[in-house]
Amino acid sequence: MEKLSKRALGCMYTASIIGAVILLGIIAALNIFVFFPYGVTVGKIISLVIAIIVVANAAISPIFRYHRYSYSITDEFIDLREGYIFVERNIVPIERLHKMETQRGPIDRMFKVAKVIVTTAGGDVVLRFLDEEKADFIAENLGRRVNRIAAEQRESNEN
Amino acid sequence: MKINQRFRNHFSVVITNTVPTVIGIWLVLNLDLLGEAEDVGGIGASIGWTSLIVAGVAVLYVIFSLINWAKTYFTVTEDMLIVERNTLIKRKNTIALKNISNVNLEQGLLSMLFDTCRVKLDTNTLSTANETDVTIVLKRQDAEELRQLLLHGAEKTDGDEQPAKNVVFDEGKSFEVNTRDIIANGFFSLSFSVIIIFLGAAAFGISMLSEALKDPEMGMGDAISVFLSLTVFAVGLIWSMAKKFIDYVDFRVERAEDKVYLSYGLLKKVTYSIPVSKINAILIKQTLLARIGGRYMVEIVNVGMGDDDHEARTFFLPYSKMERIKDLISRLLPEFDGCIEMEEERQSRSIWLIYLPKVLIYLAVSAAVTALVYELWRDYAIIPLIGFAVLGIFLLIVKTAVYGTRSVSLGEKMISITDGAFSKKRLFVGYGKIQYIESSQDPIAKRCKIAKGSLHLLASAANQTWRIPYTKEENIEYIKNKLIG
Repeated sequence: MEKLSKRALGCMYTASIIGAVILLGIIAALNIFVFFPYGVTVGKIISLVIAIIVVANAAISPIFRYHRYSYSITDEFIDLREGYIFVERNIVPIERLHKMETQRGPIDRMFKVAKVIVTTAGGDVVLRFLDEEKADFIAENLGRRVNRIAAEQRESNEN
Repeated sequence: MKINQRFRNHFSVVITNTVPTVIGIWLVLNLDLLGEAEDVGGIGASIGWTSLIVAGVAVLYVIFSLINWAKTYFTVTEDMLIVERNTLIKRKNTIALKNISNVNLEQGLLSMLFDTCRVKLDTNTLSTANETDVTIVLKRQDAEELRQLLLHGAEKTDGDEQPAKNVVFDEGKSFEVNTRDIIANGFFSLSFSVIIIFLGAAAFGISMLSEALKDPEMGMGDAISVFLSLTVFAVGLIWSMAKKFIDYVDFRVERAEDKVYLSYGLLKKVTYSIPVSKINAILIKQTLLARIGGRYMVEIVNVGMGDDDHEARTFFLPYSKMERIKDLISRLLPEFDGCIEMEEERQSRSIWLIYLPKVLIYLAVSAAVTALVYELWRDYAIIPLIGFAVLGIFLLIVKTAVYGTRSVSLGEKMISITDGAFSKKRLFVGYGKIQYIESSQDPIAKRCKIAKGSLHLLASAANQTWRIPYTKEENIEYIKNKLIG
């Protein structure tokens, strides 16, 4: 199984911190406009607990996700594992692939990483945080393999 | 209807598209004229201008529909259906006949007047899985011939002038429902929520009625109004069953070579033609009533069935006893013969350990909300407390029902997964039809060496993703290896 490069960790931390800042902003607004003016002690305690969880999650989750993330691409399958508390695995047979796409968001571009979206007739699976050059290589390689499989299937249908 | 013949929709399509709109506009105009009659030269004058503009739009709409009809052509070649639209934007859509997953003929009341049929076809692609790909309106005879061409045209090699081949149904491979079947189907289709609402309303109504009769101050009028509300509710329930009866009058399933034909309807006649190779799975369903009564209903999963509202409830075989279902599947869909016998592997008891953190989170949230309400509105703190207790008991009952229902069966060629709580649905799908699988494990599941997941199929949105309940880790590996045959 292949692992991600250090660039991916930076990307994960940035995305995680942005998410945490938004949540902390909402909690702060609730405290400033509701809990403190009306003296709601339980509200203050709950928001403190949530704020601690949000900060801890932003600090810890990228490390876990980075170490858990692994993928392998063989002649037959794409096998992808990712997650934090829940470890998820996607298994896609190569012969079911219809199209491949690479995508780069603003945070991805900052860290020179990209996503490869593989599409089957039953939906999409996304390989995230890949180094740009690796993402291009994977998409191109998979594209060639899918074309080869399609040609083989056409040939066997004609025979 | 011949190969390579270029044809248009039947002209009635212009009438059915424009007449309702024109009538609507005519009504608006008449209301406006009344306004003008009362107020000449005032607000009426501006309404007059509005009427003119609205009438102009209506005329433009009719012209646009006429142009659309005149400039839309269809051609069926040996292996393609070509749809050309030479309107403002020129479009040419080419559909390979081998990709057609479903051809559906529909005849509503208005179509009966013109003796026309709506030919609706779906292709085996995800991008248009939730909508009908092409709709063509033709005379009934032409529509029937077009259906034959679409389904058999790809196989023809000798000559353009060959007439459309008639379907020859395989002997003993047909099934026709009778009135008893349809009534039983209507009854067993009633969901748990409908029964609960009905029983609740009946109990409430009866108690109100008895109160009204005991209380001399309430009077007979109140009693009658309660009785009438109850009657309306009962009639509604009976109508929902009767509607199923009307929808499925003359229901027939037939198998001819490699295709399945379904037809039904009284006010709206519908005929489906489905290539068996495009059937991705079958689904055996049971409502709570059906589980109690030991009845099963079968649906087929493909692209095209279920992308319209009325199709969403179209069954392949109505609620029947298991022996009959087995017999009909072996005759009509032998590709799935014997699948029902696959042994169901229930979830391991260790999943109760997985529920434990969720229970703790639920209790923590309940306590936090109750404490918050206690601080803000001290007198009402009992309300969330009772609410959370009742919801907790209900969730426990649901989880127990889910535990007793969900299962996985792994066969040599096929996988079966069962889902539900009070109702139950069991999906049977060949490994070759699965597009990809997902699995998921939390730390407790990992320790217990179990995993849950989902499998993804090529089907309409409602049938695209199927949950794999908690099963042994090695079963996920087994499914993975079976995916590539």
